[in-house]
Amino acid sequence: MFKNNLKYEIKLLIRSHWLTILLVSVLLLFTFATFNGQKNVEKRLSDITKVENELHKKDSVMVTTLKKIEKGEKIDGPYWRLPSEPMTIGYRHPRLAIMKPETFSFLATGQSDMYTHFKSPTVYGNNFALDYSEMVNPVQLLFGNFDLAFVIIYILPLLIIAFTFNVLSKEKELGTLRLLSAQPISTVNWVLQKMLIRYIVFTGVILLILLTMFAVFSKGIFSDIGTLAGLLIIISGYILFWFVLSCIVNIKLNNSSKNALALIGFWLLIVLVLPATINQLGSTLYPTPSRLKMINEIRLIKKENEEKQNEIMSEYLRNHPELAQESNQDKFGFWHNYFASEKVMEEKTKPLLAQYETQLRKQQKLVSVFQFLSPAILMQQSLNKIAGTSENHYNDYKKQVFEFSNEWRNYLVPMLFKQQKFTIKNYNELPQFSYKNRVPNKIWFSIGVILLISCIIFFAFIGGSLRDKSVQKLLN
Amino acid sequence: MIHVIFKELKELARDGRFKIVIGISLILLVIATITGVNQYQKNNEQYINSVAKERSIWETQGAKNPHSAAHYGTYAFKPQFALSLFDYGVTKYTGNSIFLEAHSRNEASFSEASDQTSLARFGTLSINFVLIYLFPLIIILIGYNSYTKEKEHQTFRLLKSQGVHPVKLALGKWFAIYIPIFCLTLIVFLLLGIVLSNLENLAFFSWNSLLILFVLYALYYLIVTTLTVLISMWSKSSGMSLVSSLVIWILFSFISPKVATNFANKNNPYPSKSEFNTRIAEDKKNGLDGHNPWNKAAKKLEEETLKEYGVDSISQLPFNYAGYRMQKGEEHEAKIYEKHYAILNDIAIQQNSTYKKLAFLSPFIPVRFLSMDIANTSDNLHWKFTKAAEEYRIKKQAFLNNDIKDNSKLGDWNYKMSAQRFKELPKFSFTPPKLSNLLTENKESLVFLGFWLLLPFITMIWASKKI
Repeated sequence: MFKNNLKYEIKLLIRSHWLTILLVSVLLLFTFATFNGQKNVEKRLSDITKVENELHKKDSVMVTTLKKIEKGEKIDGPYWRLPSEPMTIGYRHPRLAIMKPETFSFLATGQSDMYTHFKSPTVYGNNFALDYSEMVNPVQLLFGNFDLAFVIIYILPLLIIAFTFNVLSKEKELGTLRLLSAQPISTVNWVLQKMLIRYIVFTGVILLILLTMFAVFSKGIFSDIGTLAGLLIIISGYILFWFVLSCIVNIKLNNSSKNALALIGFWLLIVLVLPATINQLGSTLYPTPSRLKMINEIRLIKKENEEKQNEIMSEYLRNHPELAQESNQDKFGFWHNYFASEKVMEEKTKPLLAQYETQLRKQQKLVSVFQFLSPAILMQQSLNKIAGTSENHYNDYKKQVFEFSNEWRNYLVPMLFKQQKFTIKNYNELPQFSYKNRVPNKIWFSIGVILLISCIIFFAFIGGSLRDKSVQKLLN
Repeated sequence: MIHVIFKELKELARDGRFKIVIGISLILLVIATITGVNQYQKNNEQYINSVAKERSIWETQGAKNPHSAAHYGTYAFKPQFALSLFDYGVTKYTGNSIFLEAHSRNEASFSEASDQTSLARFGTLSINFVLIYLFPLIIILIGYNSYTKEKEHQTFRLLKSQGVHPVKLALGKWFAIYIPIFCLTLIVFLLLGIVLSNLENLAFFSWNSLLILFVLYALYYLIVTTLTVLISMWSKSSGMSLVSSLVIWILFSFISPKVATNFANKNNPYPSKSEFNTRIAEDKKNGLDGHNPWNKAAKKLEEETLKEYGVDSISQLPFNYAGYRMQKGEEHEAKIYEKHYAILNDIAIQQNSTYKKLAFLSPFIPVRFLSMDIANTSDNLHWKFTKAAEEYRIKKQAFLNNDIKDNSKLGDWNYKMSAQRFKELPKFSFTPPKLSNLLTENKESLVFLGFWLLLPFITMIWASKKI
């Protein structure tokens, strides 16, 4: 019977032009989206190349001057601009901390349009409270990008709805349902078989086109077969969820326009209303303290700090006796003072800044609970994580930059206090930043969740119908 | 025609689906209003506190060298506009405070979105969210089968045979779809107005803006209604009609804006922050015109000043030249910033005009832009705010530098401005543009809306005669 069903279903799909419409629309959408994603990655890379070139230019000038100094030539300009001074290097020639795109970055813009991908932490200045936002037209952030994640999360479900909303109800409306129920297969099984066939065809088309896109636009991702497989499976899982939902609506409502309305209602709820409401709830339940308040508080600390500076300095020197070389104390009073007060600022603002992280983590927790409720949220989080553009990635990048800024400072500040000059040799052994993707994408967990959700709703709503062989309910 | 309207409305009133949908929308509206009001009050309170605190920090810094005070700086805060609780616009992405210090113009920092999870990118539930995304769906729900049901129940011939004028029939159905949504919108806006006018410390609330917003949304619903009726006329079955209307809705509200983003970005890309800063630094080094750096210009200034006062050394000048030069330097730098921010603003305007031009694909876009602009939550307003803050910064610098110039002696770096004098710096204030100005600025969007109103309507009238 299944073979029969399969044969006729495929014939039907081909003859009804559905397959052609599906192929063309998916091809168009995916091409445009992949192309855009790739363009965004290219822009990111070209921005990175620009700053790298800028740094190289600056470095080569610096190295030439260093060489001259080492040869003993006289250099014009004030003492604090000479690259032989460690503080000049530390402040005027910082290294770049670059966050390169991942292989899968073209998949989802995520938060990448909001944040910068390179930062140059300096030896002094507020490295703990750097602003990572990128220059961008806020309207773009509001409307969002047309990327693969958008097509997968928003549009695929709609295609599925259009593809399946009247599988059973059409038979009823055409009057062929009675004929069907006379066949040696239970009608529910028949619907399920039909849906299964459609699911396989639909998923096959999507995955095939997706793989073609990858082959054309981004061959690199074939080197990471594990993640690629995970990606394809989670997309299949998301498609499955919508098919299951459509199955339920088909069997339970069994009226074409009611089906369509109910499915659109679910789509709205899952893709639009739930995420928007949860986001609003998250920021109401766990509000991050106002940044305005933070500004006020930091300013007050700064003011207090200035007043207490002398006191602070001696305290700091007590903690760092190795820096307090007697003969140089006057000369380096300024730097001692500076680093000391900065250290105090950092210590005092730490709890203030930690609040933001705690609240954000709480919001994230809320989201991870609610992703069980809306697979669209689950998909967004997973795709962003695969693409390396989730907020976790950017938070971790901030942490890595901060760690690097300490490394940078620890390399140069001791030189200052030991009265060492910066040389070419030092230049060659300067600490370098390299970004590591330390955020696990947990894709197999997400796949598990989405399959579990699909199974649960399937058995909860259709489980009964599977045993009930009568078609009376369906006919009414 | 009246009969047609009554018949349709009665049918609608008896339809359970309509009640459910209205119920859900109203619940969402209530949630949006409560959270919106809450958030607004919290933010507004914070704004008022911050302004007061920052001012007191400024005023109580004690006797200080004016230039140290200039480096210590102060903040300009963006007011929380009343209608921002209706439409959040881009406020989440712009940040609402700008640090004003000597020598550099800063960006507004700390956007709310960077303190939220990426869920924020799905959108935030607000009153405007319900009105702009969900209400059009209600219209589609009411109207998708307005013609197809007559065809499916075979009552269309019956209607024709009764001599109903096809245009009257079309208009009747059109009104019947529009009236419920119009009433609903009216109630929403009235209630919103009442809620707003009962809030304390409301900044810049005007009933006029609210009225224009109401008209705007009412017009948008008119467009959607016309399109829905038109699609229903042309469709063979209710299912097809529903699907087509939904496709149009998705095209309008999701696909076109996103496509526009990609176009805008491709045609007029923003520089990265570091690229932008490098260009400014270069101009600072080489001078605005590339061959007149500040140290050269400063020399020229010195010569000119000496000549003007007929003296031969700056110590003979009747004022402290250091303060004068510092101010001129500040003005010189401010011009560099102005140039680069003007370029940036130009890119933003070009980008937004790409969006607005794509309004021929979707009436959603002009409505979105107008709504933000009227609610004072657009990026247009943000630009105005940053410009006002910069003007204030320059004034503040002049106030401090002139104090050095007039009250201190050359070379006296220990000079301190009296604690009292800090209070004399005028406060920063920002008034949003007038409604009429906003509407003139959005002329293009209004024209597009006009087209969207007329063309489908004329087509509908014409098509009604053909079926």
